[in-house]
Amino acid sequence: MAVTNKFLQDKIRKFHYLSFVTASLLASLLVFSILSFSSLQAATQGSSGASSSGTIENIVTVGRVIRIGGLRDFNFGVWNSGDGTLSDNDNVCIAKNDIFGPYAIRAAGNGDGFDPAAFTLSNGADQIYYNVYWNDANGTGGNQQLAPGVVLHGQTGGAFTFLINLIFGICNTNANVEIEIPDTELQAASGGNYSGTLTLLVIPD
Amino acid sequence: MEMKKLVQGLVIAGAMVAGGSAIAATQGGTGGTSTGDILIDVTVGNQILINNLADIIGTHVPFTPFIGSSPACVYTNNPSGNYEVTITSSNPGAANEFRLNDGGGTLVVYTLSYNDGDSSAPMLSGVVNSTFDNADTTDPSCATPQSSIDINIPAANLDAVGPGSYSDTVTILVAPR
Repeated sequence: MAVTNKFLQDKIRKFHYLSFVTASLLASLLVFSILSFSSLQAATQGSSGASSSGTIENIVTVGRVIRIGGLRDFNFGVWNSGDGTLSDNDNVCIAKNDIFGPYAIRAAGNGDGFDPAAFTLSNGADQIYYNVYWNDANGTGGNQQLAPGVVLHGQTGGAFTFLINLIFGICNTNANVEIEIPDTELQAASGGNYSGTLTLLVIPD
Repeated sequence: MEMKKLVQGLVIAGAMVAGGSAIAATQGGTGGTSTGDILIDVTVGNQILINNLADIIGTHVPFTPFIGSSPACVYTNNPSGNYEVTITSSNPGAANEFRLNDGGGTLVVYTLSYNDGDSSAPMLSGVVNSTFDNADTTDPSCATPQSSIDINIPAANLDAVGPGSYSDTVTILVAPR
């Protein structure tokens, strides 16, 4: 009997927790719906008389906002011949208020003589090229290679994490960036330290 | 009161899934678009390679020095192409000579020079020579030899020993400089 009671108590606790999370999400959606509400009613003008009154409608439109965070540096350390291609990835977080809409991403590196957005690392004299991949979910499975400076549209992800990240300014990871430095590039590089900056731009799509 | 609980719950739920990590990159701000930066860093170590070596095999003709050569290709990712060479005999003499051995203790002294494609320098066994340059700096596979290892066995040294097979294995060590 005691076992049955404990089982029921656990079930009730889990039900309360799920109800609580669901209610939290709905409450948050409601807040955003109110903020996003816009009225189409026009102002009314006053009439001539001893007194006159008119009305105006205050229309506030909340635009779509987005944020990328959770980024970290990629330090690959020392590469020697035989180490092969270097690769590393990082789960990052996207926050946005258009939680069911897609977003787009564009990546730009330090460039070269032909392409200002080329994905390059430099030691001050020579350059080596690297590849960038983006995934609209955690992990690298199904990620897509980005072309320098070219917008990749139609990225989606978890609506819940978009919202939670935005409301509380936290980082629940929901996307992934992968950096790959091909062995052929490293083999042909002169010795030294190479570095570069990758700039990621996210846009509501 | 209920709303306070809801907010607390959301904060806890968020904290549960938000990983903690030291962030040095630039994070994006909230706006119509958002931009973040990642620093990427890698150090390419000094690389050097010697290949295209070949054994030197021949038959002594009486009263004639034996002269032989092996090609060599040296690649380095040092843009200067500078490198140093140490060549070591398996049967070195007390004065760092290179020597052949018939396996029975009979030794034949010979000389060895290293040519980097620009100039040739006589070598002593186990002694580094740091004057070489002209290594390939563009082809990591080093397909085209530009260097050579040249040996000269004086006729008198070969004429003085009995018939047999005399051999030496030399180890060539190259290092960037």
